[in-house]
Amino acid sequence: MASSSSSSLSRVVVKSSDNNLFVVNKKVASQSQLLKQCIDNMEEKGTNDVILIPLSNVTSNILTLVLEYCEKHADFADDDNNNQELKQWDHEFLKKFDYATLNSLTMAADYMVTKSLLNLCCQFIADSIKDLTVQQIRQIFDIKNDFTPQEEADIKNENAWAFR
Amino acid sequence: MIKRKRFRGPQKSLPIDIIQNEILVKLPARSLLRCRCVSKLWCSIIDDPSFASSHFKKCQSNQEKNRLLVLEPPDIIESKQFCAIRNGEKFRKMSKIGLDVTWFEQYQAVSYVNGLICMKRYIKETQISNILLWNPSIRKALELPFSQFSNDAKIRHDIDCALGYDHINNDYKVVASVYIGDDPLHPLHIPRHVYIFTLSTFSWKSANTDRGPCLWIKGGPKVFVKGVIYWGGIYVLTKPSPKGRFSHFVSFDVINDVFKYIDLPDSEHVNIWEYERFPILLDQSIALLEIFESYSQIWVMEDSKGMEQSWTKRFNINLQLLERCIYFKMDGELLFTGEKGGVNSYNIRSHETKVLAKSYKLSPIFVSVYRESLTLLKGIPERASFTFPSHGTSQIE
Repeated sequence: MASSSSSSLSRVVVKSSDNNLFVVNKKVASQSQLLKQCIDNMEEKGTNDVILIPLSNVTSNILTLVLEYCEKHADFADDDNNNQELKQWDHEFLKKFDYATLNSLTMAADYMVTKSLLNLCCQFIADSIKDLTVQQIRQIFDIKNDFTPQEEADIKNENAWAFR
Repeated sequence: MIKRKRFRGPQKSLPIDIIQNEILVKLPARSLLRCRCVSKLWCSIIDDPSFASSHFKKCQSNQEKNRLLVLEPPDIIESKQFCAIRNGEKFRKMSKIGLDVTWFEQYQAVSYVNGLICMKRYIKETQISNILLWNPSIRKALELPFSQFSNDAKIRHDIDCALGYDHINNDYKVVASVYIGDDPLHPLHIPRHVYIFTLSTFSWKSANTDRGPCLWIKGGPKVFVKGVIYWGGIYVLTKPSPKGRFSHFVSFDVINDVFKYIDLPDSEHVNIWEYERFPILLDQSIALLEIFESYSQIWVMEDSKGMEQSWTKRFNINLQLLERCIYFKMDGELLFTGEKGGVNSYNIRSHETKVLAKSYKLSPIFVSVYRESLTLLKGIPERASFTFPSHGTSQIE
């Protein structure tokens, strides 16, 4: 496949939705399956030009964060996944963000097919909501309560112990 | 080829497919019971049986959560029997559920499959055991109906049972053998009747089993793996052999309802009461743990397609484990009680022994790796299921 091609790109340019350009080296970009696929396709065609990948869905501040994550993980790409230093870094990385940023980051990870970042963000969100009240969870996910008070009370009563 | 995902537009909140497939599946069962109140959509997602199975798979692949489910012996004075979740590293209590017990009514666990405990509630007055399926992560239980046993129930009897999961039909089955005391035609351990309970039909049927010459060991440990339940048995037609405590595994194929007998290797000791034999799971395969007075060993079954099974002695354990083994973890870690109490662990590959808990004085009656699960939340007859324990104390420490 790609490896049989004579040309090989070392860098790509990624464009955010607000038209900022990011020069990304190939190893870092390959952390995203979406970018990797674009690179592979271009290499198959044998092009030597630097390619431009527009991401109409990701703003520059979120793209900066995704690329920061990809850069760190590209450094550890040959290590096994259980690297403690990397785990610690992941945790510190996510800790700084509010829910709005976490949401955008999660959606960008999903869009750019960066499975490990998607998984990491979602595990972080799951861990932080697991002890919250129903009302707090609704607020975080911006969900409107569509139960009548009676319906809600009935569902609660089915497993009243879980609310104590 | 990876397709470009559709454009989702600027959104404040996450799309529901990410919430469902990436976030909700990572939540503990107790949080999910609360999340059913968030909205109608969330409630319908959590109640869907296919969500229960993807949630279970997610929890199973999360190796970091090394927790044990421990059913402790009943404390008659306090009228409580505790089912505790303990940390696998230090055996420290993380949470516990108190069951109400009396001198006449106590609980025994026989199997733990997909987060579901198969329990016997033994009522001393009537000498009858009821069978419960209980999911402690959602505190929901189901009492199995007993109408087909009514003829047996009139006389003194004992029931042994085991639980299995039919992954083809996403169904659970309980195999129960009924032993009648003082029955000259069915002495010792031969079950008078064998029944199979199917959860989806919520009914029992009589089992077709050529059980004649095989005595089933009553009350011994059961192991479930890849659609088959295993437990110990003795073949009576064999001339008195030095095979010891039991000479066979009885196996029940949950998907096809087929019983089989598996020959075990000859024992090295003649005196059958000086050692113990257990079916265990080692790396997803059935194995045999033999415990002698001063040492123990593990046999594994070689897979010889269609040929007779052959056993190979694979591990030696230089420890005194007689009547001290509590649990064998599938990855090769054995838990046992210390000489003066406490819980220790031994790794069969590295031979490393560790003290997990020095001061634990109880002798747990059932231990297994704990699994969060939503099994029994929905899709079962409402009239037969109930919150269990209904008023029991529960606390998280």
